[in-house]
Amino acid sequence: MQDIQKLIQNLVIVIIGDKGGIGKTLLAYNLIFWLLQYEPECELIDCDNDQFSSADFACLRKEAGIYPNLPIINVPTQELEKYLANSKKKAHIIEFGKSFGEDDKARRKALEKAVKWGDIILAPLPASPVDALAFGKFEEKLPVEIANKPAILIPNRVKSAKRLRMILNSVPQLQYFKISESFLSDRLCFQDSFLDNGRTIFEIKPKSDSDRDGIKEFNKLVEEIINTAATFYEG
Amino acid sequence: MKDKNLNFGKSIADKIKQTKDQENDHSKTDSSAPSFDNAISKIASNKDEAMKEFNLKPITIGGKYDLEGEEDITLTILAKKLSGGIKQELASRYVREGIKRDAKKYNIPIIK
Repeated sequence: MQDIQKLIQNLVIVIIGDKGGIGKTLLAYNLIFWLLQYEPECELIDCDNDQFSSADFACLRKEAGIYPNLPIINVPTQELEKYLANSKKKAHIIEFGKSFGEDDKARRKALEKAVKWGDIILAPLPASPVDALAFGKFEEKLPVEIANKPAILIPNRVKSAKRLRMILNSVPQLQYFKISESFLSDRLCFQDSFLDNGRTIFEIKPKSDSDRDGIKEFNKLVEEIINTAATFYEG
Repeated sequence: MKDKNLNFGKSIADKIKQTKDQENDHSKTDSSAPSFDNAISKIASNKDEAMKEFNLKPITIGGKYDLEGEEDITLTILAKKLSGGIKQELASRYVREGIKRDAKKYNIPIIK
């Protein structure tokens, strides 16, 4: 893996997506645990206010006495800029909620700004033809500044590599996002870890080969994200 | 990499400030510049002369879209530059993004 310490200095990772339940929390929650190993002064800002999400799972683990506490805070999208402007943290992950409608201008505006601040933009994509086709339209709404950043589309809930290839072939050519080679399979451990008192995928005790493969998949994905970003910025 | 993300490595407060500054720069218009509508008609009436007068170079529209009415879109973009609505360094990216928006606005068909 590339020089992580150098890369994560003041890093801002923005996690976005056009729907609920596509894997944004899975990604954000586990990434903050990973990031915490390298930068104690980091924070996940949970703007996914509509549903039970990262901040709620962090409370679960705190109540269960699981260490370390995860630095996750719930911030309404309207307050995001003000909050960040006063933040002393050295690295941030910003997780946005589900799709903004045309009427939800405040959320849309906040997301556009966050994309401009972000150093890495991540978007999980459920491996289904409908979601794959819809992503192209979602991408069109994003600000042009995203062209200056590594933007990675991460296939999630993949049934098989063969089916994933078939689905990705149906995706219109994307303008900004690169589809990651690593993907997350449709595994119970990715959901069950949350239910285990808010544990991350890195903390579960594997009970099956599928669990072990899930941990490997997530590690591989993190490595690819970091390497992609490092290559982008060093280039 | 086509363009550097100049905010990389800066603190979040600096990132926010820089983004605000950029937005302010982009929203500034040259008070001596013609309005967008005037710019359009000026270029449309005598493109060669307008381009020479304002030291504009033709923009080649590439990428994945083949366009009908390419000339009209080029004029639109030139006019935007002329009226101070778009910064020079953003022009190439604007072309890519702007194609679809302007095509829709000016009713120009896009063929994939």
